[in-house]
Amino acid sequence: MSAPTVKVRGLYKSFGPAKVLDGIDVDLAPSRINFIIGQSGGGKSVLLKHLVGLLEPDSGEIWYDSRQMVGRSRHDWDALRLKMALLFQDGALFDSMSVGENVSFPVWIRGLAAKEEAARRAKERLRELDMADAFNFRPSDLSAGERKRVALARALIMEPEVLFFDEPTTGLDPLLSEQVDELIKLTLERTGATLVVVSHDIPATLTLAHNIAMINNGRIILSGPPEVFRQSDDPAVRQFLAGEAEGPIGFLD
Amino acid sequence: MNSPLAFLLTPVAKLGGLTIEALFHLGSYSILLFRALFSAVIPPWRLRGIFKQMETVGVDSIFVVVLTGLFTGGVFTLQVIYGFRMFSAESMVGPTVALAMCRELGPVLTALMVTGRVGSSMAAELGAMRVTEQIDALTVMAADPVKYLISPRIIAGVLMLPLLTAISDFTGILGGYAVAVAKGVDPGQFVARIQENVALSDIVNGLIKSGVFGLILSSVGCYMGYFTKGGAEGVGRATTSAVVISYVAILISDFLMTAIMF
Repeated sequence: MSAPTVKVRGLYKSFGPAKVLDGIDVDLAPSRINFIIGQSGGGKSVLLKHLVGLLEPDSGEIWYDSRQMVGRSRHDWDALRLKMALLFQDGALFDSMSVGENVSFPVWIRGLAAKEEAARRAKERLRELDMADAFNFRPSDLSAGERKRVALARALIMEPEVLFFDEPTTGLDPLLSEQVDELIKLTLERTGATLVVVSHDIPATLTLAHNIAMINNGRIILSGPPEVFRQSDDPAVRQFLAGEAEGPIGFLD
Repeated sequence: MNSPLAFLLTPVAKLGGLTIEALFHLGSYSILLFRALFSAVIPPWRLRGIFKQMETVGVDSIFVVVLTGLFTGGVFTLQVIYGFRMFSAESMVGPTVALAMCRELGPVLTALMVTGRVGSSMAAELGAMRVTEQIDALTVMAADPVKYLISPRIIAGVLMLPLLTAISDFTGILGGYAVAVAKGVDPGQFVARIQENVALSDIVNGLIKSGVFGLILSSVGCYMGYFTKGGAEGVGRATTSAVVISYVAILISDFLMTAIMF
């Protein structure tokens, strides 16, 4: 498989009485930066968890190229996950391990290489991201930005063909946010993978994205390249882009 | 429901809700336990992880288990001597202490101490991993968190508890011996009566019980941690529930096993 096209069709998910995904249809283009935006609690992260198989939808389909993944066994998902990585919001580094062990973990846990070889590859990835000195550190010794880079190194070590980012810039200062945006661009250049970024960082979205899909109340209300969003008359889209409190997107619905 | 009947039905509905919740937890606990035991027996085995857990559960608990055993045996003897004096039966203090330690106090007190020390920390550790998405990260990296995190802990619990209990049995009798001798019981009599009256099955059954306690405290700690919800507060709740539920389960299962075994 090279960088796959990811297609979502009619995805529904409820938690008790709360409908979180209400019929999501979205296409994520291969070797492109695809953004999924929307307000907090609007279903972005839930959609992301469906895409990597952490949640099972009530109904709907998720296609990786010609493979439909909903309802598949853990074994099938694990086969797909060999070429998939997710950069968690806070990195989700294992704090019982050193930085080097964290980065090499995806390689040796699957028995794909001996520990020494895995460590060598980890060192290389860390060097590319300017974190080689941190190899023997503990994740708790690092700053938020450094942790993010280590997490990216861990995500990249398997040379993934699909790479998901869960709110990569949330909680970072503007300077670091810009660095992370650069990292995302660099990742695309180096890997040519299908990149999927879940975000509510509007400026980054409009400059970085090739495609944007906006979720509101569990539905995709608009999708397309950034120009489509800049020119949209949809009041909800306009409100979100402008970051205003007044408008059709309420706090309490 | 606003009818007068609602007032009468509320307690019934509450009870029903609690029952459903209890059954739900029992079900998902059983599934998790089954998965953990299943993946414990199929390769690849993570021996390093298992040994690390055995150190945490076993070696690191020795000190507290020795202390508990020593003083429990001591105070038990102190109390029993008082009663036995009335019948001039001080020489029977030895087997009484030995039987109590091997059949009951050793296994149960060890399990309770290790629950407080290790069961709680399993829940806290896994709970923290859950709320910081480390468990999700394992899943996405195609590393089964049940196999990687839970199986080694349960194996360590089942293997180490009997060993700790053996230590507790021994130190308990030792504590009893010291107190009995200080109170004027003949040392030779103390040991000879133990040899005459304690059977191997008394010791072995106690150790079997402690293996079950090890399974309970490690699996309950892991279950509570693994399904933690709601941030730091949730981790705290998981830790407390792990200890309380383990205590209750250990005491109830102790009664049932004792009724069957002895």
